[in-house]
Amino acid sequence: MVGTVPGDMDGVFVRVGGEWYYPPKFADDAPLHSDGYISAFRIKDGKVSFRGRYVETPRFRANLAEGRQQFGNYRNPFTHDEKVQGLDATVANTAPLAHAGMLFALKEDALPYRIDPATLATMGPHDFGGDYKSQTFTAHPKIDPVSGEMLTFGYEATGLLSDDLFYYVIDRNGAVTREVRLKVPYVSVVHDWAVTQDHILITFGGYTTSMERLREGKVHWGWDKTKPSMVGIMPRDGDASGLRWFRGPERCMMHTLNAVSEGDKVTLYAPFYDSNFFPFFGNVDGSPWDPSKARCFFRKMTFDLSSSSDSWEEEILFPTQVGDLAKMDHRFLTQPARYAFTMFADPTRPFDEERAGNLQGRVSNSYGRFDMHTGEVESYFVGDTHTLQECSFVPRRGSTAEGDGYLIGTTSNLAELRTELVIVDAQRLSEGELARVILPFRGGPQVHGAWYDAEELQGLMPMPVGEGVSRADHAVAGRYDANLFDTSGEGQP
Amino acid sequence: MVTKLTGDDTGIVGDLSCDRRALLTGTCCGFLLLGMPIVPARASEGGPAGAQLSFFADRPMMDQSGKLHAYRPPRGFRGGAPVSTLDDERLRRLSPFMT
Ligand SMILES: [Fe+2]
Repeated sequence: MVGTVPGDMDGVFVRVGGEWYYPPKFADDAPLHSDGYISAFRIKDGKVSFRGRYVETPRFRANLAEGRQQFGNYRNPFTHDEKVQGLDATVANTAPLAHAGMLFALKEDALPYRIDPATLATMGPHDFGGDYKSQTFTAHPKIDPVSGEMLTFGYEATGLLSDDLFYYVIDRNGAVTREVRLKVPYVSVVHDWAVTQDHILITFGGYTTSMERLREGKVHWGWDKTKPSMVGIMPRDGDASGLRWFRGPERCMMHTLNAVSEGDKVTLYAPFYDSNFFPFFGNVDGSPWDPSKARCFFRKMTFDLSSSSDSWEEEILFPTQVGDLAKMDHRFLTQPARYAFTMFADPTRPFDEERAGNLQGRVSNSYGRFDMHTGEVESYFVGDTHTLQECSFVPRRGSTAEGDGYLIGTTSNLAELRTELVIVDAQRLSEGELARVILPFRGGPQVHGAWYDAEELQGLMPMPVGEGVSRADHAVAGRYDANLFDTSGEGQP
Repeated sequence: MVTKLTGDDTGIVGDLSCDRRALLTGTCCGFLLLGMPIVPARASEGGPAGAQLSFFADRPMMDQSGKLHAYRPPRGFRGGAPVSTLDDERLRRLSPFMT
């Protein structure tokens, strides 16, 4: 450990990502289909403990029993082996969630998988006492900081390719209090969404699917640039009759930051891409994937509910291209907020090609604090052989001011072949990190991560006796590693 | 897990700035590898064995006790170099979130 972990941090930084335990059945399968892996940094009294293990879904266990990959292309049951037909094929590889004292690993094609916060062992799918009826659950539920409720949804809610989207409110004790059954105009990736104090916003665009493409053995999604981007807005306490759809130009709407309702005006803040971000979800017209259109910017989109127009106004807030895995001070979700935090590639920073390969310009070497009041960007540079994963915001204990806290996240050191955890003062990014915890190995993959204060989870991982990084515990080691650190498949077992 | 070692069991050796990649490429600590078995003969039998090259606190260390995990060089590089020749599409197909 280099530096000092803030003494007021008592909680856990949980990360979820995907890693192929067995190689994919088809070479062109989406990396989003790799096996879920959950890892956690427990932090208390300035000390750090680490643990990580695969999420043991039915799919993972079935593959383990056979000793090979039995599942085919991304979310396409026609390509799975006969023996595993009917099994839950989710990989639970996208995001962690803590609610009502419970910990979950999420992926949008299935129910949440409950995880033991002490051991990270998989407990099984969770349907909230049978009251959650959708077959699927988003990787991006929203916790209302005012009420403590969780607002969530599932799309393809009644089965493969269904146009049903079920919206739920789940109270702070984990009980379903509200369900609204909705229809979407076309079946697409509804990966994230947004909520305000008055409305929910359902956001998607571009990705399409069909029974024909699934029968042809393709991955679930393709990109159709002729499809409009869509935002459905509904009062939080309304029903399906109150859902109003707005249409926009070609956009890849994966992740949102925040949204606010003020009278008849709804404002959405989101880091959306111009077009298709994922080359493995190819263009349906057969044209090649165009990296020049996979550009992401922070956007402000304004909807006028008093107008009869079905379009919106869009403004790009910063000229800087950013990563779309953005975070805010979640205590201000649904309310007017000033700061957005995300990683980005700062081309003015050095990269040591000698030690880490020629990835200049393609690594996320910085966190930025994007000030939406002044337009200023303050940044933290992680190092000249590093690429950052998504950061998470940690409120300083006892603070109430927006952005008063820390950013925590992992970074891959591409020269030293290991994962490092960094903790930065969110108000002083340019001053460098407060602490860096250097794992002596690669700490497993991450799509999303989140910080939870200790009191948010029951039965949290105990802190072992010792100093510094006192436990490094990989419960299951991958046999096949197709990720950035080892493209040859020849690494150490 | 780190085994607690005492006395003359261990010693930090060589260039302290030496890292794993430099060790692999032979640009530092070269003398360590000359004639030195990386894994001692009896290491696989479980008990203490002869001196072996190990790593501690991210530095190469000559473990005289044979109690530490011996350093085993990976077959092939595990850093950014292997993917540096990939174009944007192939890189993103491999690792969309660069982890
Ligand atoms: Fe996501």
